[in-house]
Amino acid sequence: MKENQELSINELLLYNIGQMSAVYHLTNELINVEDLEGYYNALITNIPQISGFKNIIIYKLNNYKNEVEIAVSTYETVPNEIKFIKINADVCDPFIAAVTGMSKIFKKDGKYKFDPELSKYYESKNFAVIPLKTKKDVKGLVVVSNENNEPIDTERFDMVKLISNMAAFIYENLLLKTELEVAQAYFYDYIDIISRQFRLISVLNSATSKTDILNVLTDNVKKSISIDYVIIFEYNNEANILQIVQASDNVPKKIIEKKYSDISLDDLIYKSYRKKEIFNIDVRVGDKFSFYGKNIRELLNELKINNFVIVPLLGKESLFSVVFFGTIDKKITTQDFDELRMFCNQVGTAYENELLTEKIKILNNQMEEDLNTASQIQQSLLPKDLSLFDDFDIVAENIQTSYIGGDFYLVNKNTNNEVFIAIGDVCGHGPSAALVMALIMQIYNDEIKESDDLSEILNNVNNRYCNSVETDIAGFVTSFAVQVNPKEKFFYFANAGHNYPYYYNSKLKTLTQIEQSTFFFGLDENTKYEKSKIEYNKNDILILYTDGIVEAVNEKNEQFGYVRFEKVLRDSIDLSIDIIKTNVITAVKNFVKTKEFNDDWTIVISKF
Amino acid sequence: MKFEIIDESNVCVIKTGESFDRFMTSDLKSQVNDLIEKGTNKILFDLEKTNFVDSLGLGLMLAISKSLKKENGQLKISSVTTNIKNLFELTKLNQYFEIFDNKEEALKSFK
Repeated sequence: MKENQELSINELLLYNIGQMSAVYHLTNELINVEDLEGYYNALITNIPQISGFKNIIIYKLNNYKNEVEIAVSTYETVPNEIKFIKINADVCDPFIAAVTGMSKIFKKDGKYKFDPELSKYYESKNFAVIPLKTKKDVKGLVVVSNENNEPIDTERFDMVKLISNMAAFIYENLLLKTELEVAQAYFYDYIDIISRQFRLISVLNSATSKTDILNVLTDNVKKSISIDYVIIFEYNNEANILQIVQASDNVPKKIIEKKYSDISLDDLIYKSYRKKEIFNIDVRVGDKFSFYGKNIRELLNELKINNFVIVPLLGKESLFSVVFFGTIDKKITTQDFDELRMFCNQVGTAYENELLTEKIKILNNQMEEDLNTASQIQQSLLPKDLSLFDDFDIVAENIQTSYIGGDFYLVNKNTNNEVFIAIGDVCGHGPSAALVMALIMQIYNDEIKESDDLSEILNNVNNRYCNSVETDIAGFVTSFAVQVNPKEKFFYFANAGHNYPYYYNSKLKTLTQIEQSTFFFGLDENTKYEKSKIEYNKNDILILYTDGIVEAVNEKNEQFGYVRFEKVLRDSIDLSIDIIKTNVITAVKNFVKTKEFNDDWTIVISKF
Repeated sequence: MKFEIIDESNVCVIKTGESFDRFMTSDLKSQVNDLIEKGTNKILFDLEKTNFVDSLGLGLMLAISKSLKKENGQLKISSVTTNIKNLFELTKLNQYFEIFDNKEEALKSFK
């Protein structure tokens, strides 16, 4: 059906001008042209057959400059003077209208403004100018004239207009198709680049060391973009040399082991990275490559590298290395270069992160070591051997939440053979609390030597503490102190804001808290600490502890509290004090389970 | 809620949450220090919702109180629960701080 329709149009056109087969032929030819030159050639071959005009000149038009130049012509007689000249269309009346898309017939001897060279040629001619007009712009001009300089007849003129318009339409579609294909190719390339970048990122994410990260470059990138050699140079500032830190598997060992002291890093980076220069081995002889020394030339020769680029591996703040990408046959394109730069940016960032992580690890290890040492020093401050007090038994345990904490206890004897026991808790924990704890213990020990009066000792400890440190910053210290006189079987006690201790009276079989307290240390330098006296029986028990025990919190956010604490004490009170201590620790740990302890805790139990 | 700071009758009222402990003291300390630097000198700790104050919480109230005294300011406490009352008695801080049964009384007492 379609063919029949086409035939009827053909018949109709043949009827009118008798040339449709030539039009059909032109159409087919135009469909297969690949560029603008082909388009002009198809027109120059077919227009004479279709229109009967024998003399045709097709001018190509530079739209930006509005300049015309002969592309093809049927004239064998077109003089050389006009064959190769470029003319501004604005200086020739016949072309002015055409470049804006209008067709026009010009008669001989007309008074037209012409370029002087052209005027000699066109002044005596009958001719017509027809633009090759696409929707977007004019692609060229067709100038037709008769062989014997006869006037231009409008019928054939219209025919050339028709052919020119049709040809321009076909050509425009061809252009669009080509543009689409180019766009598609770019799109697929782009998708390829993106997927390669994603793959790189995922490989980088699983890299766990500097070597792993650099391997991504030497291995992954080599495969992705078909680069034959990837060599990573690191600059050694002190020695002023470049050395290869990593390279793809195919780089021989002897090349890797060389020191590249004769290479200028600045030049390399400037020429390759900043100027986007892709080096070609063919031009390396001469001044351009004078900055390369013997070793780098040997590297290029030995690996038969013909093209290479160099991209620095940059982090946010520093240059880590220079990456050399070389190929034997493959030309490295600008697109490859851009992709390699993207790869290097990704790798540079990952590399920098890894370096930072390593630094942090080292610092953490150092800090952990320091804290371990501090913890050992602190533990050594606490009395360990409590067996020297043969008048009664004492056991103690100190558990810290951090390596170092703020809880302390001390047991000491004065010159009168009285035993001095103190427990304390520095507000907070960690290094600052540990410093305060060491200070307080030192002051306590000094004062025990100086005085045998408990009140005086505590008054002085507080006074000296208030005057030694800025207590707003250092914090406050609670403490409970006891001065035992084994000979007379009594003890004095004084409380500086500390948790009330438990006292077990073995005669009455009662467990009660000693509810007496004064301000804690550090609040007021003039605080007076009154001492009280308890006469003890054999087997009476005094339990000193810090708030870390009663304030230990479980997963439900419940505190261990005084009720549970008292129950453990009551249940164990007839057992040895060592077992009482163990039972308390076990009960607290079982209560807290997996939750971390918030605070240090300490317990000191004395059995008289 | 860890804590809330509001202005009532030119008094900076700090309402602490269920626990006034080491997990909030550093945040609160820096905010209160800023306020004191900007001229705040009347602070009321409203402990109505608070069941637990640890040594750092107490320490912070003392440190703020000392700073305010240097600036002729005052720190007061209101609405303490039984637990906290016991703690203040144990540490004798009931003698150091002015403690009121409720917020309104405390606010009235500021000059």
